[in-house]
Amino acid sequence: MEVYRLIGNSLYGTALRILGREAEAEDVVQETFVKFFRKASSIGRGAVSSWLHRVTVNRCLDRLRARKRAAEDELDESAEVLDGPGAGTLTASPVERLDLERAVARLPERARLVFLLHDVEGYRHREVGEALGITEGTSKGQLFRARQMLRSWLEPEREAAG
Amino acid sequence: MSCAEFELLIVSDDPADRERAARHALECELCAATLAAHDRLSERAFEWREAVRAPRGLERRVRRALAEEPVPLIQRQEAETAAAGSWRRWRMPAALAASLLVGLALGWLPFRSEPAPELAGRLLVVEALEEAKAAEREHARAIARLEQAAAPLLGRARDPETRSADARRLLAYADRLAFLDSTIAEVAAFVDENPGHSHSRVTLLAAYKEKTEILREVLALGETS
Repeated sequence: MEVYRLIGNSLYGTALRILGREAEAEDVVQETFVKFFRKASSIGRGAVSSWLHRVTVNRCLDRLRARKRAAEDELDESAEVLDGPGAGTLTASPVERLDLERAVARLPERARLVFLLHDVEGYRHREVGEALGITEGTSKGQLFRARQMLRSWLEPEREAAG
Repeated sequence: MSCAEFELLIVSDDPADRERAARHALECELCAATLAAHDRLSERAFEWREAVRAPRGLERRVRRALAEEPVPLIQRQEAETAAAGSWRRWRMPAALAASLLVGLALGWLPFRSEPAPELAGRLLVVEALEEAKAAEREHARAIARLEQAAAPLLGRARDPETRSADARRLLAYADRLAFLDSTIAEVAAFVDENPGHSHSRVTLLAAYKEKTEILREVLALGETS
């Protein structure tokens, strides 16, 4: 469990930022470590920390897709609108106090994920593209869009002056 | 360069592109403000990464989940080997004794041209172990050289004169290197105690390789900035 102590916070942070829900983030971290336990013997040649982060991110993206599908089903059945990714639950979480987090939660889904993966998690555009199924160019465009939107929300005075 | 081109370069992963964007910003007030805003956002994003702490109960929960998992095949095999009378502690003396026995067998029994399969297998294990140790020593030597070259660059991460994007990247590298150092120390200590634990040796080599790659990336960043 030394690996957990070294990287558990980081994996949990990644999952929480992407999913915006603490309980789901905990589930993802648990699933990631179980997968690591099962696959440990075949991970040797890659980087363990990168592998763990990649699995965490992929699990989160799977959950977002499932959430989207569920929301669509709900809409079909009862026209009930579910929360957007991270909305609501993120507001109640302790880390929500920061303006940046609130602003990121307001971003359109794809721009939000590109910003999180690139600027927060340190992915390169090629890796962002692979994770989200988009081109590098789209990733760059979405990142610029995300940063500009965040800038307009977080620094309106500076932007007006600029 | 046009301001539209600047917008593409400012989000590029290539340090040379960002350098070009920075040069354009020196001549364009609007783009300079955009560049500064993006740099501030990147810094805040990086700080956010550091800020989150997992709930206290999560480690216990993960431990419980792992305890319920069936033991993976490789670990099971190792456990079975140990239960069957592990010869780890006696590997070297056993190998010498095995060599002696093989020699005696060859001398006394000329019709047997090869050592018994079991002894041959053990000798191969000893040989493989020596090769693994040599590879690890080689990695450690290469890393020491790279570390020496990268140290001044990593030291610039907190220098206020370093461009914020580069400083952010250097801090991220330093963070990953610290993680790898602790992993290497932990696995190396375990390997010292259990030299025949193949999975740990693979993990150790992977950690060495990753550290080598990161140090090379640091040096590459130093060349472009």
